[in-house]
Amino acid sequence: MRLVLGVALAVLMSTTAQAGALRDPVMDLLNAFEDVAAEADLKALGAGVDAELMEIADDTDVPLSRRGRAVTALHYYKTDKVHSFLDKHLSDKGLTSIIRRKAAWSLGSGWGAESVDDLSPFLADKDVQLRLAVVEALGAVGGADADAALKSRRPKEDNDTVKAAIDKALGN
Amino acid sequence: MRTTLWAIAAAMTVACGGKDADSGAPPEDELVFEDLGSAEVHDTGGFTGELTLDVPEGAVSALAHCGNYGDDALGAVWYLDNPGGTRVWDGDAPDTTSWRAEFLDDTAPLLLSITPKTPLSAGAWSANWWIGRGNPGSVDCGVVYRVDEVGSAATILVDLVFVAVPGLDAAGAEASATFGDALAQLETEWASAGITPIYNYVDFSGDVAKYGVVDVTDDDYSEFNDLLRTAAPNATRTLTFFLVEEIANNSAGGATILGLSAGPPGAAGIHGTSKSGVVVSTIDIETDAVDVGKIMAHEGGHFLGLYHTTESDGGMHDPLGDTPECPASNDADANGTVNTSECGGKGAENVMWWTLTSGDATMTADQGWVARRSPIAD
Repeated sequence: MRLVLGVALAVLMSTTAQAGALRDPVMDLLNAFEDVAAEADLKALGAGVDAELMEIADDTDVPLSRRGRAVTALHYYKTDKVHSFLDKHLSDKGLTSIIRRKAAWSLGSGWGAESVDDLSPFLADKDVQLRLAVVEALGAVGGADADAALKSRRPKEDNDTVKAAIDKALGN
Repeated sequence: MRTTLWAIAAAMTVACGGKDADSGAPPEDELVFEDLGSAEVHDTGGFTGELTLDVPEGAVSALAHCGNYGDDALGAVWYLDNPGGTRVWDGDAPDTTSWRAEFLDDTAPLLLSITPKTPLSAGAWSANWWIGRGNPGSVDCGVVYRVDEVGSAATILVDLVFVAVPGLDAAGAEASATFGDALAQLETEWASAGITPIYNYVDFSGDVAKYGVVDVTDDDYSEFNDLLRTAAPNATRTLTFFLVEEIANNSAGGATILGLSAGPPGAAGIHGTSKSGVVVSTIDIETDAVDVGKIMAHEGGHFLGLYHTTESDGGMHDPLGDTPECPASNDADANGTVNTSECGGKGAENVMWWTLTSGDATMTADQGWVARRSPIAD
């Protein structure tokens, strides 16, 4: 028992040392049961929130749902660094599906039409839920390029739920 | 860090609470259902007209509802008069009464009682609902009375419907220590209200690909509503938890919502409606099962008629008299949110605090009073 507590204390100290000063207020917003972290609430916390969100997103000690929320919230910070971070996380097949899905949504929400080229290749991913997320993200982006990508995928898609999502995204 | 410490805490938790569903469902004859008929409503918005709730002697709660006005329309209880003629809720002057009602899509339940300040008494109560634009021109109304006695302890039959829980189905969950950690946390937090859950494990038989991730937007909860409409427990007095991988808010970049309850309050004892249960995101089940239990405790609290002790901006509080409040004046960092660290001793330790916190959250005597009076409690 003493050993277990010692390990826990070491992990606690290690995590505390890594976490930035913004960790607690950012986590409070990410921990809300029903509400999602709003742009105004995050930006009211000042500079450095985007870096804190990226750190949280990669911190495996943080519950997965909150890591996913951090990835989502990154779309409020349209910097090259954040774009690169999201692109890398969408592409990383070693990551859990939820993080990749949130990266897809975040790219679409933050970069709009500019994200279509980033997102389109993942319409053919083997993960059905990722395909759904990409379809929905492209549907939210809208426009000619996003529609073209969805129309191109439609005849090749074999999952009925994804097909229905494509139809819905295209307004059919 | 959180995982490690919670794992230790969970291991130290004494097994308690949940009884097996074989011990029996609550008696059905303690519920009295009454059809209040259909009410004509102008499709651009209007009132149902005054409906009378004839509360019988011995009733400890009543759940009235007007609904089927569609997922695109919003409605709310507009006023409520007690048998003595006192207006206990007034939508025209919501700050003047010790009651609360929300605008809800499709169906608006009215729960008596949501606060000891407005105790239920036998006699004719009068209620009027306002239904907004987009309704089909009429709504269906009804009420269920619970005629029973309420003590300091109660059980609630809980259907755990496995829609998409990472690595688990109903059979696997019963034997899963990890899932047991989630239920132990639910039991611990509900025990503070005198509530013990009794479980029934069910595999979802519908479209898992569709409902595995429940997609909502700020103005369209139809997928959430449709999932709740599938609630069909064996026993009428059941709270149905739909366990999905996640709920995603597509108006907020697909952000995960940890859990959503119908209502509040939920349509306790009324099944097959858009207000007939709770949906919980379970993506944390494998690494942070205790969090899933905390989400269940919180969202189940909403279903039973409990509100956030304080909303995140510090501007609104529940209608109870003994729950701590943390008004906006506590927002020391001026970020527009009353954070957990700013509200120690002012509600941040409560099950119905607006954000998830570490440690065992508790409920107050008034919250227990409300929860144990639910039509589904026994």
